[in-house]
Amino acid sequence: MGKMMKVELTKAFRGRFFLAALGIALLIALLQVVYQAENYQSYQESVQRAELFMQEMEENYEPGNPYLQEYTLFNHWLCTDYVSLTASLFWFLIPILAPLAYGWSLFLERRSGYIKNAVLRSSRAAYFFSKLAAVFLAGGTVATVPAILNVLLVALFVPAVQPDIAYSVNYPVTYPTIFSWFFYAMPVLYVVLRILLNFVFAGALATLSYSLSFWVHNRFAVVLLPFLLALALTHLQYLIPAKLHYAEFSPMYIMGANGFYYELPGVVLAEIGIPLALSLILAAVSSRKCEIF
Amino acid sequence: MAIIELDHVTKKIRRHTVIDDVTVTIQSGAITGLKGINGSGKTMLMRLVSGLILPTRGNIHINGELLGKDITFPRSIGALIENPAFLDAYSGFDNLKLLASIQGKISDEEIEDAIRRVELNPKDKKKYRKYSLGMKQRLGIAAAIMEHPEILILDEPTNALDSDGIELVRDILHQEKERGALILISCHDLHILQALSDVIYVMREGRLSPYEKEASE
Repeated sequence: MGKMMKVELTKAFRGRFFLAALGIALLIALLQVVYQAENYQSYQESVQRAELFMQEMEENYEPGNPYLQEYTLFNHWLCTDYVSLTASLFWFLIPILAPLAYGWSLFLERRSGYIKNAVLRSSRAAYFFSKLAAVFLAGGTVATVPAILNVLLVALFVPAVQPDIAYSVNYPVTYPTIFSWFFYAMPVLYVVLRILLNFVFAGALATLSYSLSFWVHNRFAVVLLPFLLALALTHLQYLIPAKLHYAEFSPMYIMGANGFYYELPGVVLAEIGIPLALSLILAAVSSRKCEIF
Repeated sequence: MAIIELDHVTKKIRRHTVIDDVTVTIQSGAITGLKGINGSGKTMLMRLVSGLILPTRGNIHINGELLGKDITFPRSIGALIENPAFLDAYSGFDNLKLLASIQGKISDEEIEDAIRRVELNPKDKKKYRKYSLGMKQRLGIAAAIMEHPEILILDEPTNALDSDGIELVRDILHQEKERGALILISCHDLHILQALSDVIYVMREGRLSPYEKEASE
């Protein structure tokens, strides 16, 4: 299993589709940094203008921004930025980019016959589980590496001021949402947990392509169906009256923490758990009795 | 010495019988050829012997071990079934190296040697997607023989090859036979098969029978 795993990871992480998907994601994540750097510069200038105005208006005015916590790294990096186009675009595209990284490979190897080369040298179980792991890791990496780079770079421009509940109207993280306690109490840990959550979420989306490879007979459909499903969840929730639900269903909004509704832990776990469980079941069944033509 | 025993093997796919009650024993020391028209069941029989698919009825024993129960695949097998299939973005050598690393049994020199045996250049950096059909076929044969398998299964090994290529396949098969490999090949062209094989069986609608020279031939 170990050697097969190494082979699958080599194929996944050196593949041109993985590099292309990662490149697109990195580009958008870096554009978000540029936007945030410029935006924070404008914010600082407006704060300075306001201070000058206040100094003229009040004799005993003490300089300093009284709204320090409203503009912090923790609500302006890629994952909690609910304002910029680049952040929205990034999370909108992740359901395509994650499966594009390596999700298509099982479909292609079954169709081309390459699967025979691999299984005859190991076992069905080694092949199907190693492939699943590589699909998951490649999908997760495409969403995570740009996010890590983004938070580090945005931190060069925007100070990491601890969020204050009094300014919650400025934050996308409210009481019922996942990891909300960490956001206010230990924001750095929140960033780490968010990155890990998005790694698993994007990986789970990629494994949908793996599962679809057993039924779907079109390469583009295998890559695009997870995105279309995510899009359907995004739009279907608006058909349910807001009074009847307040949970966020859209994978794009959940990963970006920028939705209209609350990212409830139960819904998040279900959206991660269902595709993962499905792919694991398919891998287990295929390991026992998949006929390879 | 390897031995494959098929005992009343039948394979049905969606109620359609593709292999019909085949009983045969194949041993190393002779090159066994399968002749048959397209759709006669040659490739399906090779898939069964490789363990890629399982029989609906009957048993296949490889060196005394029951395929699908004692073992999932033959312990030492090299196969080219249907078309050669490799990664487009890798060179021939890189493709074989990646496959060889799954078992980790052979060195880079042995991979290069296998590529040279099919008269390709192991140092060639050309990507597989730029290979001609003949080069792809040769690389497929190299992949099948590189790990010195006990059982060698080649489905239509002369596909896309010119007369020199067919001669090359003949030489390789004889070298592998000398080495002691059990060799099973298929071909729809009787003349080529006669040139390559020691024993010939004919597949007709999933049934296997020994080849008997007809009066007209």
